[in-house]
Amino acid sequence: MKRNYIKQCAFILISFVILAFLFKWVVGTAFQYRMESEGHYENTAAVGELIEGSIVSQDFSTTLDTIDTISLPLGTYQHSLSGSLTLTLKNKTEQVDYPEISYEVSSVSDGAWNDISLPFEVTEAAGKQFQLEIQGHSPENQAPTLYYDQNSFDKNFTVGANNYIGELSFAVKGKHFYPLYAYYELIVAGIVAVLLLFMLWIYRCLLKGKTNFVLTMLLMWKKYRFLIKQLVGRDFKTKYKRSVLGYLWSFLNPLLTMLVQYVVFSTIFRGDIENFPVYLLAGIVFFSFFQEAVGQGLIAIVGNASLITKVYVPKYIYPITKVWSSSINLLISLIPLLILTLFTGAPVNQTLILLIVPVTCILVFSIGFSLILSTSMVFFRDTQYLWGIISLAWMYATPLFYPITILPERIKSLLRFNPLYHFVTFVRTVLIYGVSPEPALYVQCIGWAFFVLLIGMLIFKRNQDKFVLYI
Amino acid sequence: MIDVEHITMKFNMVNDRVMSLKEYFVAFLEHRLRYENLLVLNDISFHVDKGEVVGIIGRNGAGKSTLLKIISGVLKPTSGNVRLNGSIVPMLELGSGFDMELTGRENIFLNGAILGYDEKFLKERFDSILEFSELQDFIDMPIRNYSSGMLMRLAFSIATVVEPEILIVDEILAVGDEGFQNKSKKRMLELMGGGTTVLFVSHSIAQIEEMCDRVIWLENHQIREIGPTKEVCKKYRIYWNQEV
Repeated sequence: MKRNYIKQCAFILISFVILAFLFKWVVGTAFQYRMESEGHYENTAAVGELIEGSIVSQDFSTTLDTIDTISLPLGTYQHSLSGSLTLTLKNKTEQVDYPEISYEVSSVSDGAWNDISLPFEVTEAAGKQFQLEIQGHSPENQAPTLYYDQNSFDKNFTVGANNYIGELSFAVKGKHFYPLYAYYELIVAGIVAVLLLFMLWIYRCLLKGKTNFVLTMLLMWKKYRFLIKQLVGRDFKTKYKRSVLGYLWSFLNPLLTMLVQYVVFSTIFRGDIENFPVYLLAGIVFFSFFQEAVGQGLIAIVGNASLITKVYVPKYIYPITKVWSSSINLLISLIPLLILTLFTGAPVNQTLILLIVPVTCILVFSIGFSLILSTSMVFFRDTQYLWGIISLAWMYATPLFYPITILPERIKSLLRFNPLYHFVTFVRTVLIYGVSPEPALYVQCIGWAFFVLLIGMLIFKRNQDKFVLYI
Repeated sequence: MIDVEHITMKFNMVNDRVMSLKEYFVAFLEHRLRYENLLVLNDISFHVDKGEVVGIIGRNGAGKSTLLKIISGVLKPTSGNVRLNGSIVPMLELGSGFDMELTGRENIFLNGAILGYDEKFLKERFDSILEFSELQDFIDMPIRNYSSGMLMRLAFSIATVVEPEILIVDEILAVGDEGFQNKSKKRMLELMGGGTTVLFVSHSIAQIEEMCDRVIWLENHQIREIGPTKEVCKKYRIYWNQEV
């Protein structure tokens, strides 16, 4: 046991370090910075034609770390334009003048925003004062106009020598750096050190013959591993036992559901969503796993009443194995999801491996939820009917087949309390765009999953001794 | 070794079992929600040495089965505690956790795992379980096709394949046809005689006298008498004669 323990610890530490570096490579720039834009988007009035020699100048500050692009709305007064604009950016805090940028206006369409990327780098921009100067180089009746917001009474800008009350409509786009990223290696080293200390402490307990939380868990796992395997095997074997297609249903079910929803919703939402089939299927696969796992987990205690009243087995094993057996189904239905992703031409790359994160999170989340509901089921049998309704409502509350853009702002802000939304968003980001989600999403997914698990464990533990009396 | 220290078991039962939220609220509003404190075991203490066979007797509802359930860990006592030394096999009911859709072979592993056997042990003993159950021709068939006698034979064979350090028996189980009944009875007696610690509940005084070293007599949720088999059984017989 002791020698084995040291071996296992070494294995855990080494694989943790390898995974940490692999992870850094896989997520790429997603943990370094996020792209953001910032600026004033209201345009309630036009500045007027910017003919040769007119100069508009606006002071602004930003919270972005770098400025990569300047975005301007331009109006044409329904003329065809010619000539160009010159943009000059000045860092007033540090007295730096950046080189002039020239922008051709001949292909501008009326009212559209134009992205002008900067040929130089503006770094350490956060908190600094900038000035943007725009000069026109077009003949009269062929010159573009800028817009501004009359209602920004506390701001002003200049046109030529005149001072205007209001704020020029434009935006800057750039990077927001994550300060912690610079310390990634240091943080990994810190976690390794903490793990090592923790393992040493457990080893000391092991030598002294004391028990602790982790050793008890290991012992339990050793003792009940075989039972868990058998129970999961039973659920899996009996699931499709008398059906002709058998396991193929795990494959077909999500695909056919997707097909139905695709036919029904494609004309309504198709245009708003990139890669609608993958968007749909990702939502269906993950949500129906959650629904099935919790539906099964919820009857785990009541359904095994004959066992619980006769043989002692730690009771949490029943809900956990139920969720576990459903997760085999989830893994099978990931196959059609990946195939569909390939077929629709979405970028498929190393980020696919990140799917482990939402899969683990939804598994942990479902276990937590099953612990809560299976406890409640023992005392109130209404729970299973309530769950039918709640899970239906939950399905509609999660953007599975509609884009979030159709939701009113007030309801959209409620979405962050819906863990399923975070899990599904994670999956979609990886599958549809082939990039890692931003760090905040990791925190939300992992945070929700373990929070609910903790609540579930507490509720279950407090009540489990009473189960026998009520089932 | 079994050490039972001051075990008290109270059931805090609502007088009607409230099974749904609606019923609960209605009962609560009508002040019908009375809790009844049912005392099932009152301060029970005893000690069983390694290798001893101890019988438990008493009339129906005296708390014998509750006591066995507490010792095997299924129920948690309201107060007091139980200390056990060694692996325990409770033979309270046969065939717990059989799944009708699975084959006999799969059920041997499933039921074995539920009874706490490990994988290696089950694989080693698989043949002897099969041989004892005499179900060689049916073992790869779903057990929903078994007759009830066949089911009991399979369950009995799995349950008695172990050599536990502590065995808890609620009545000697004799199942199946005449031949299998004799065989299973013999197996039980073998198990109980083989140096294991046994707790044995039975309504058959003859069996108790035949098997046990000591006897515990439960009456009115308490230990009325504990001592050598002969003495306790004699008093027990006198008690019943008076009653009748």
